[in-house]
Amino acid sequence: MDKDILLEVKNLHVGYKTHIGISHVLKGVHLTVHKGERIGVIGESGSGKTTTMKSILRILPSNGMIKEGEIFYQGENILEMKYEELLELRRKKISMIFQDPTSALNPLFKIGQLMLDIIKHSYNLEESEAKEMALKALRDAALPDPERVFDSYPFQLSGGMRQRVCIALALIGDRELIIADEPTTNLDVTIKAQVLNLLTKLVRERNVGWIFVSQALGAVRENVDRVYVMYAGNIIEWGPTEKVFSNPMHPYTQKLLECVPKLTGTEFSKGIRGRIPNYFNPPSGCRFHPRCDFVMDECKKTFPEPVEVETGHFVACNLYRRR
Amino acid sequence: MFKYILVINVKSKIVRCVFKMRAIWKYVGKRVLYVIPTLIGLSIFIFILSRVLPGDPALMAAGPNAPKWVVEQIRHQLRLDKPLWEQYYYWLVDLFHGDLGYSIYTKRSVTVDVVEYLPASLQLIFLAALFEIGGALALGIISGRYAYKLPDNMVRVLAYIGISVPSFVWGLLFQLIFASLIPLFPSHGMYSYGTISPPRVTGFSLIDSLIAGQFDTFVDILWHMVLPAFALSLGAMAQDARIIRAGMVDTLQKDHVSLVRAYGIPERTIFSKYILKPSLVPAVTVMGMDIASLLGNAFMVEMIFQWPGFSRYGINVMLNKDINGIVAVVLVIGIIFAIANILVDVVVAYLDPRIGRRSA
Repeated sequence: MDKDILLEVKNLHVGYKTHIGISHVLKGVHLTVHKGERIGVIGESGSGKTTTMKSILRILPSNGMIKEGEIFYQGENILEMKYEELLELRRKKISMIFQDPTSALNPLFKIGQLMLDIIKHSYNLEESEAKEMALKALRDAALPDPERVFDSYPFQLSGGMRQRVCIALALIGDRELIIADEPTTNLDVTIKAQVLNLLTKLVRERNVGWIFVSQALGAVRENVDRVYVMYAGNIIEWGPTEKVFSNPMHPYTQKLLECVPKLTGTEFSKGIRGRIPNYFNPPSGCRFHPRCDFVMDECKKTFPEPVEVETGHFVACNLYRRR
Repeated sequence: MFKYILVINVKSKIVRCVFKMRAIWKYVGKRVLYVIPTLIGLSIFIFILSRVLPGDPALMAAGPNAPKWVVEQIRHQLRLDKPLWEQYYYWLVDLFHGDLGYSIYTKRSVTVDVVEYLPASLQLIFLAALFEIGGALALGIISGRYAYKLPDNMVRVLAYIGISVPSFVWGLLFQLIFASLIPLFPSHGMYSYGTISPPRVTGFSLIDSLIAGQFDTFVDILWHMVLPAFALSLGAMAQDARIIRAGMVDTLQKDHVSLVRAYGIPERTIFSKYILKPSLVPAVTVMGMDIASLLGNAFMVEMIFQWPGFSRYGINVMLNKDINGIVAVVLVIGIIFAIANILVDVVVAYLDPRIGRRSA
């Protein structure tokens, strides 16, 4: 069992230094990805999903700091890696697809220049071989006329094509883990489905580990094996996708799933009252307690220990500790 | 067969290259066309301004004790007795004959003055521009690379001093320190005592000395230019270093930098390539304008170092209300700004592919 584990994030605490103080975003995040497993991470904007993903590759902005925690990749702690080892990890093992393909591609460089630069740094290849590899990746990402895309600047491509280019980047070489940080959030509705289908198809075909961060709950439900629910820098519920979606335990998860608009419904959901907390001075205990309908005294004091409610389905909520 | 494909490939590359060149020339041509109406507008504006301002140029040229008929004669010579539009028309006709009019300050043709004084200033500004670009790049990159750390803080303090202290103060200071206390550089002038000036070919003494094969003179002139050029360049250098730094700090936060970092591109390449290039786009624009405005700012520095340049001439014609001189000086500065603008546009279009292609 242990050998199967590809990535394991343990008790991750991350904050950002700003001029008005430290913003304590992640408070003990944990995450496990097995080989070839597809993981979903859901939660509202600002809950620390991107911060977690950026911590894994250690590409946090310069004011971000990892205060505590461990991130094991096949038994090696990423946070203690030397710079050369880290480069090797970023070049060959884990790749990441960013949220907004428009801002994730440098506007002043051709797609080809960027791809060649990445490939040449990762593999010791001749120019022509590197180009072949790049074109193959573009072809794999279902880009029509890869030669033209290779020779284009990002502004000459449509949004969907840009995200396909980013997917192509993530496909270069044989990666073991692909992190997709809200890959479809900034795309047109019509393109969303295409890009998502492409991505899920590729992930299934290649049998790579996949972390799919998304707000699109339907897409998550269909495409991942296990799902993690994040709220305000905590993982509050996790388990096999079907169990979490059909039987949500945490009050936050219940509310979150209610928020999905239904085609048959005549009314919009009311949403969740309140808003995500201020990270400079976050609520004590369970960070959800100011918005929770079932709040109890002890919720304000301590963060609840996770309880296994069904096999593999955990929830961190005081409601279930009582039982 | 294979050879054939190769030939086609090479050919298409050349064709593409030529096409690109043509696109650039088309772009430059367009810019030049935009500039012409600007310059005509500027000439009309300064022409009218120089003639409606209070003070009688003819009276000033003739002197306080001159009899009335002399003043009238000068006024007639300068065509000041004719309506403004007629004056402008004749001025324009003369301009196309290469004649900028008669200077009442130097008592000769303004064209001769411009040809004599402008090259000296241009070569000084050229050296100052080299200092400016080199210094701004070096300081800006160091500052951006080590943002909020010691080197950055040092550069930022230096930049504040550079911006707030005017160039003539630097000139005096350098003269005192590097010419007087530590006599490393000459304190003023263009040639050392006893140096023979090269025969005039282009007017640029540096080039002329090379043409005449007087290498010693070349070095001597360069030696005389170091202090004034450096004093002149400091303000702009400091400002542009700050702009490059700000650009780098700003770019550092961008997603595309996270992306190249996430794909294992080493930090050094990230900075020298993916962060530097976007940061240069705003800096180049300001740099071009800064360099062009050096010509206007050079006045005090040219005075202090007794450099026989154009800025000094410009101030003198203004003080003497030499109307033809004033118009010529302003026009020359306008043309230099226009050239700088076009150069900036070309460089920016080269750096940022989005700009050239959108408007082409």
